[in-house]
Amino acid sequence: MKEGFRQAMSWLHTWSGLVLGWLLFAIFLTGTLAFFRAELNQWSRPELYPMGPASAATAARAQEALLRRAPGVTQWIMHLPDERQPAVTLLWRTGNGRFETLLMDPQTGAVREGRDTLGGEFFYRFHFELRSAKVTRWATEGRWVVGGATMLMFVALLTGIVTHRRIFKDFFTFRPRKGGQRAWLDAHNVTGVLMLPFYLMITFSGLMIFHTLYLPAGIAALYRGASGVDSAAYFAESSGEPAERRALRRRGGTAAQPPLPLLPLDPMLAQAGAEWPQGRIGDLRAQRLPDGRVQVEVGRHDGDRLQYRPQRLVFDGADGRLLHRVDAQGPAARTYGVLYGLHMARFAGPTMRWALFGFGIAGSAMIATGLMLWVVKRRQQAARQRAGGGTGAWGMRIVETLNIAALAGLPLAIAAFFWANRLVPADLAARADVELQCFFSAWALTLAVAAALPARTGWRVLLALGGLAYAGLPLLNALTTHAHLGVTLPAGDWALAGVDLSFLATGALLGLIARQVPRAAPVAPLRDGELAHERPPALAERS
Amino acid sequence: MVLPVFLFCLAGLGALALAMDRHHADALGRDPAPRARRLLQLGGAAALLLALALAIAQAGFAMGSTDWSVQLSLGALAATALATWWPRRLPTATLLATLGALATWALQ
Amino acid sequence: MPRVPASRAPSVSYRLAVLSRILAAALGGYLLAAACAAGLALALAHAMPRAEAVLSATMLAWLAYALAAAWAFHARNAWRAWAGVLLPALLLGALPLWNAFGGRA
Repeated sequence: MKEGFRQAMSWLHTWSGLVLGWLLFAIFLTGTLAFFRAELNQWSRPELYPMGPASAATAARAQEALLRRAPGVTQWIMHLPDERQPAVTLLWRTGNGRFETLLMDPQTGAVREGRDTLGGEFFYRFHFELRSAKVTRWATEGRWVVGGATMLMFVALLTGIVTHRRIFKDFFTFRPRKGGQRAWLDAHNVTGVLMLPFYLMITFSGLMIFHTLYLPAGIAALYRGASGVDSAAYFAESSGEPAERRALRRRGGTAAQPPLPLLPLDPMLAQAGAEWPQGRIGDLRAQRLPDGRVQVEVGRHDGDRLQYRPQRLVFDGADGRLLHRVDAQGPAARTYGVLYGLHMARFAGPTMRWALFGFGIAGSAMIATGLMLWVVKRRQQAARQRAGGGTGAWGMRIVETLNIAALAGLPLAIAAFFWANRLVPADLAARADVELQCFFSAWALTLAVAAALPARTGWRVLLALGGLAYAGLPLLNALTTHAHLGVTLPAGDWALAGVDLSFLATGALLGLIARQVPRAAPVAPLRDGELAHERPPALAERS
Repeated sequence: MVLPVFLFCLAGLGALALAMDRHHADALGRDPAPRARRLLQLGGAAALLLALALAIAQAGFAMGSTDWSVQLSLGALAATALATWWPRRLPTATLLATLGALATWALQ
Repeated sequence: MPRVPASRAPSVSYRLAVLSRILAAALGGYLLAAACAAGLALALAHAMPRAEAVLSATMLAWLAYALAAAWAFHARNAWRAWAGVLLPALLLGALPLWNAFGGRA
C-alpha cells in the first residue's frame, strides 16, 4: 500500500509541477526580483539620483509641499524615506476618488519627476497578478491564475517531500559529473530540499495573503449580516482597529468635504517616537472623516518587526492627542501577520535580503531543473522504446520549446525591459506601457525562436543573448545616464551600484550556462545488427 | 551577530554529513564506525540545537527561528558544496566551523 | 491510481478516470477547503473572536485542499476519490450552508 501511495504522489508531483511549471518559474523569478524592487525602482529612475538626505524636518516640509500642490486635498498619505527609498512619496485623493502621487526630495522639499516607468514595481505586480500594463482591469483575473498556480506549487512541494524516498540519505548529494538524468535529479533534489522551509513558507503565505479573494468562505460564514457579507468588519477586526474607525474603510469621493488644514505633525511624531523608542516612522496619513473630524495616523516602519502591517497610532488632527493604538491582536492574526511579513521580507536587512534572493533563485532553479528532468527522462525513455516520431514526441517537443522560452527566454525578456527603460525616450506618452510591451514582445519572440530552432541551438542562442544583454546594461547605463558605476561606486551608493554589478554577474552566469550546453547530440551505441544509416533520425538530430 | 549561528549550523550539518556512509567514505576513505557515526549524529544535532537557542536568545522567538532557518539552509548549501567538490576537506571544514563558532560566540 | 493498460495508448476509460480524479482534486478539493473554512470558523467562533476563528480555519482549509488532492490520486478508484472529498465537505459545510439559506442568523 505504501509503495502505491508513493507512486501516486510521484505521478501527482510530476503533473502538478508540469502543467503550469513555466508560469511558476515566471512567478518565482519575478517574485525573487521583487525582493529588490526598491533598488530596481531607484535604478529605473536615474534622474532622481542623487536625492538629499532626510531629517526631522522632512515630514513638515513634505506636508507644505503637498498643500501647495493640491490645496483642496481631503486625504493624503506620506511615505517617509529610508535607506532603500530615498525620496518622500506623497499620495492624495482627488475629486474623482483616484490617487495621485509625487516624489519629493526630503532635504529641499522640491518635487522630483522621474521618467514614467513601473521599474521594480513591474516584477512585484507581475508576480502576484500577472500585470501587463500600468493601469489594468484584469488584476483580479491575474490574481486568480496566480492563485491556481500557487496551489499547484503547494501540492508539488508536499508530494515532492512524500515521494523523495532518500530525502535524508541524499540530503547533501549532488553528482554533476554523472550527467544526464542523475545530475538533473540531484540538482532538483538539492535545490528542492535544502531550502524547503523557505519554499513552504513562501507558497503557503502566498495563499494566505490573498485568502479574502481565494477562500472567503470563512468570512462569509461569520460575517453575514442583513445586507450581505460585512467584509469591512472582518478587515477591521483582523487588523485590530477599533469599531468606530470602520467608517474610514468606506470608499467614495470626498469632494464635499472641507480641505485639510496644515496639521501639527511634529508633536505627533515626537509622541510616536516615545511610544516606539527603538523604532522608525514609516508613514503618515491624514484624513477628514465623514463627520468632519480630522485624524492623523502615524505608522511604524514596516521593517521594524517580522509581523507585517506595522503598529499604528491614531491622533486627533485638531489637538494632536492620541486616540487609538492599532495593532493586530490574537495569536491567529499575529501568525497571519508573521506569514505575510516573511513573504514581503520588509524586515530583512541587506544580508538577509541577499540570502532570501538567493533562495528565490534556488527555487527558480528547482522549478527549472524539474522541467528539464522531465524532458531528459522522456527522451531516454523514448530512446529505449525506439518511439521515434511516435505519439509522445510532440508532447516532449512542446515541453522542450516551453522550457527554452521560459527558462532562457524570460531572463532575456527581463533584460529587454531594462534596455527599454534606458532607451525609450523620457517624454514619450504612455512610456511605462511601451517598456512593458518591449518585455512581452521580447518574450514572445523567444517563444518563436524556441519553436523554430533545434533545441540545443535555441538554448545556446537565447542564453548567450541574455548574457550579452545583461553584461551590456551597465555600459548602456553609463552611456545614457549619470547614475552609472563610475559615479555610484566611488560614492558608495550600493543600491544603484549593486544593481549594475548584479547585471554584470547575471551576464557572466548566463554566458557560463550557455557554454555548458552540449554541442553534439548524444549518440547511443549501435545494437546488434543495426546499421548507422538505419537509425531513426529522431535520435541523431532531436537534441 | 549572525556568525556564531551560521558557523554552528555549518558545523552541525558537516557532522551529520560525515555520519553518512557516502560522505564519510569520500572524505576519509572508509565507512564510519558505529560509535563514530553516533557521535557525529549527536554532535551534529547538538550544534544545530545550540544554533537555534543562540538565534532565539539574540532576536526573540519569531525573528530568531527565521534567522536560524535561513542559516540552516545556507549551511546546508555550504556543506553540500564541500561534500561535492572538496569532500576530503569536509572534516577539516567542520572542525574549523566548530572552533570558529565557539570563538565568535565567546567573543560577542 | 488505476494501472496503465498493457497496450501502448491509454484507453478512453483510463483517461476519463484520470480526468475525474483531476476534477475531484481541483473542484472537489476547493469545495472541501471552502467547507472547512466555513464550518471550522463557525465551530471555533465559540472559543475565540470572529476574526481569529476565520484566520485559523482558513489556514487549515488550505492544508485540507492539499490533502484532498493527495487523496484524489491515492484512492483506489475515481468513485472513492470523489467520496473521500465530497463527504467531509458535506459534513463540514452543512451548517454554514444552512445558515446561508436563511437558517440561524
